[in-house]
Amino acid sequence: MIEETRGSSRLYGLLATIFWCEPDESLLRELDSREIRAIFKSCGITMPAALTHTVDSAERNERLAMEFTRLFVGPGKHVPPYASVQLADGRGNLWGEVTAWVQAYFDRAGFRLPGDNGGIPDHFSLELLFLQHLTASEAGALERGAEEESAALHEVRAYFLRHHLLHWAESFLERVEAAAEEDFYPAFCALARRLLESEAETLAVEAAESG
Amino acid sequence: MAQAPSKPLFGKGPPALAVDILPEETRNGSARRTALVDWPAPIVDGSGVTYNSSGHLLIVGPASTIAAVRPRLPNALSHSFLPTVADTEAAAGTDRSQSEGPGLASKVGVTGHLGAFRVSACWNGRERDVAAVLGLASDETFDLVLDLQRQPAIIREEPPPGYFAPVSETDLAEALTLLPELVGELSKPRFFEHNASVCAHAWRGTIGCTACLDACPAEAIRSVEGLVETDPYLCRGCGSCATVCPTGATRYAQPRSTDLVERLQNLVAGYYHAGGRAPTLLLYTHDGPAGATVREQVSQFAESVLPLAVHDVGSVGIEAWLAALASGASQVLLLFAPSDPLSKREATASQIRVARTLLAALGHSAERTSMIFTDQEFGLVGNELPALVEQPVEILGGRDKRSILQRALQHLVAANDVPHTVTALPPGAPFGILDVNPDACTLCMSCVSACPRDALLGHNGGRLELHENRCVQCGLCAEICPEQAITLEPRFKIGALRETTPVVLNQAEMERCPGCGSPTYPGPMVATVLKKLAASGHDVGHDSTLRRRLLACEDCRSRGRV
Repeated sequence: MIEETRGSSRLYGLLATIFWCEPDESLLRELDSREIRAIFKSCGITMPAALTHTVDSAERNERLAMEFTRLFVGPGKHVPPYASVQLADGRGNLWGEVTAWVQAYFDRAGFRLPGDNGGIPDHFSLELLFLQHLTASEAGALERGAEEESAALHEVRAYFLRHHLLHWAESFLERVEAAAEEDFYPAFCALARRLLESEAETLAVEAAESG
Repeated sequence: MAQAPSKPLFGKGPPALAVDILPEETRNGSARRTALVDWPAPIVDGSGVTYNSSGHLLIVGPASTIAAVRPRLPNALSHSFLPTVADTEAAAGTDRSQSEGPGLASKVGVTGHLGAFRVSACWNGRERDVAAVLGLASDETFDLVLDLQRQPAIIREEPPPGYFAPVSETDLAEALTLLPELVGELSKPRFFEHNASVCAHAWRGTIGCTACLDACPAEAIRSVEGLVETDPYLCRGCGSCATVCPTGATRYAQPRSTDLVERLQNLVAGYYHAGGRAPTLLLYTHDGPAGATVREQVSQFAESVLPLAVHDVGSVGIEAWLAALASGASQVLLLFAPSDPLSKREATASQIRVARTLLAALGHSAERTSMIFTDQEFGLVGNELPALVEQPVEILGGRDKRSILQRALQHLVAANDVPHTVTALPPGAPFGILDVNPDACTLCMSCVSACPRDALLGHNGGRLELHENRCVQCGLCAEICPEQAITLEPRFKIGALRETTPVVLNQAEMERCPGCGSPTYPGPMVATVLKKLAASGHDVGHDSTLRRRLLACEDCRSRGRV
């Protein structure tokens, strides 16, 4: 249970980084590791070519920067990685009502965004970062045997997933996959999908057990 | 048995000014008598807020002070006592316990209002509920509080009804007289109405305007999760919140500004109709020292001075003053007492500064709108000021504060053929434009969504516009702007009063596709993206592949032409 929660935490952290900014050389090196390969393999997802077939790393880095910018930043048609936009069928405004809800939820859970967050809390990455924080804390509490604390943290995560993130993540990931020109982001979309699916399954199991 | 009707908490003041005591030597004098017949003493309507008091009074203070006051306490009330550590002992940090009872309390905290005060205090450093310590039921509250501490628990310009913290023997005597009256069911109206949809207090968690919160002397207004919330039990009805509200979201309801303006205009029209000229409107709070001063001195006022009682002079705002001037008054005077709460006086003073700047822009002197005080010589013996308009209009109309104000100004401009100048206004004034820094603005249009007045417009393709006549300078746009590109510029542009076309605040040059030359994206947007990429070490120079591909139109990119 502890290892499982730690594993989720690492995965949330990795995905938060991937969807936050274009990958630089050091991140790409980090991704080309035995652990990441194992994760992709265990999920049955093909490693992106950028990680396995690269000859000219400078050219690859530029290509991925271009892909990230085009997909998530603009200018022009892109897939804004924000809940307030995606929940309104991809056409909502930034800083929608849901943004305020997310901010309030973070506040209530005592989660403070890192300083360089760009100011909008319902970014896909910041929500994943929140879940990383919750799962890391939960694993810590489990290790200490602090059952009440770990159960409370689990409940905070479950509520956030059930009532928020699971409502928009899938359609966001689908839009990214449809707009992508490289296989890099679709691979990580698939990974995110697997993680969230397993979270959803766990939640359903829990709901069935308690209900 | 029929239930006893609730007693009004307000509105038991003296009767309306007797018109027949006013001198009538000139046409102005007789016109004044005619006009004032339609101006009765203010009646506050309704009983929207009810207090239930069974007369349980808590007396808080040093034991010696309580002992001195005890014989004078009204018999009609039941009493509980909370002896506190004397100030000298509290300062020295002592907290002596007595052999009997809970001992002396310190750090007394009082919340609530008439009929429902909760009181807490510290004994030996531990905070406890006073009702519980005194052995009362756990949900018991106190109906009334007489706080005799040198540092009272509530230090507020307008304390809650039912709470008395006398600072002098006169104050104490007055409190002891008033206390027995505050028993039974008492009611007062809701003095305000709030329309959250046009409120500029906050947008998606970002706080903008706090004018009403800052102005309330009763601390009855709070910000709760971005919404302005007023506790009607604490509100004393001074009206400062409505006076300073730039959007008209908070409105006074006793009476509504629209109704008051209509009555003022009818009154001026009636005065003119009866042969009077160039009236000075003297607005004053009916109950209290200002009312007493007027009743005492009214026979010495010039016959063109029309004394007009309202529930609270602080509730009459800039739109009413200017509408009165636009409908034929030569001057509007607001009579305050030095004992009026400072924040209430400040609220009106801030609006007077705005009104005077607006009037100065129209070429009129400062004395057209003034605050005067009961303890000053305000010698209303002769008024030489002509009216601002020769032909008074009967009703200017206007469905809200802003539209009344605009119509009044439009009328004053038209009646005097004023040149269309632009005048700077003091900060906080409800007119102005926005200065948008084109180097910082990325045309993200966040400001457009935040504007509670729909003053800002965003156009696809990158153009930001402002309807200057709608902007109330609430500042939400500047707060929400992620690039901090917006600065408020309060100003009065006479020409903008009737403007229907918006002004362009920022407009982007479009970047062009390096493949086919067609316009693609707004320049500032591209610049922001390139800046981000450059910051993470990418080459975004003029001929870089990254730049060329980002600027390319979809067609050229998909065909590999860049």
